[in-house]
Amino acid sequence: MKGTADAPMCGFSAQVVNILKSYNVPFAARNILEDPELRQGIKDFTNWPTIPQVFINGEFIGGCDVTVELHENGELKKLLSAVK
Amino acid sequence: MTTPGEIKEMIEKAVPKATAYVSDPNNDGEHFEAIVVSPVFEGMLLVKQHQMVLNALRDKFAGAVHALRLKTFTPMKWNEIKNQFSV
Repeated sequence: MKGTADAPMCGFSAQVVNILKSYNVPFAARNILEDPELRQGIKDFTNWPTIPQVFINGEFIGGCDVTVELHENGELKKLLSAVK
Repeated sequence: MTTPGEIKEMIEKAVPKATAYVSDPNNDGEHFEAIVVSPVFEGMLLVKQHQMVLNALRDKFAGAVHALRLKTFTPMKWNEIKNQFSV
């Protein structure tokens, strides 16, 4: 994401953090603004050109809009139920 | 500056049989919104649908374009709900 979970530096990153926080599941964030290598590396790894990117148990879920849609249609709840 | 027309053309070139409705709500050439309708999305995971559209704009994201607020639909789904959108 851009920024940290407590201080997001972009509206899309903030939206993703707010959704994840609403489920009370443990999550960790990496600030790509402080790590240029990660910033490019994560885009190459997922074949996804934008930030933020969400992973659940190591699996790439999508960016902000995908996360929002999965949140709204109930899929995200199912995916997060596997997170301890 | 990137225009909505340019984004529309890049998406429609990359996604088979796509119709893209693209706007630049802040008129800043950096934050675009798009609705993309294509039969290829049928049965495709949402993340894959978005991946296909976003990667069409990879060069733009490497430059001045910051974000694309995106919704993707099959033509059938789009026909059901398009009245909710002002396109």
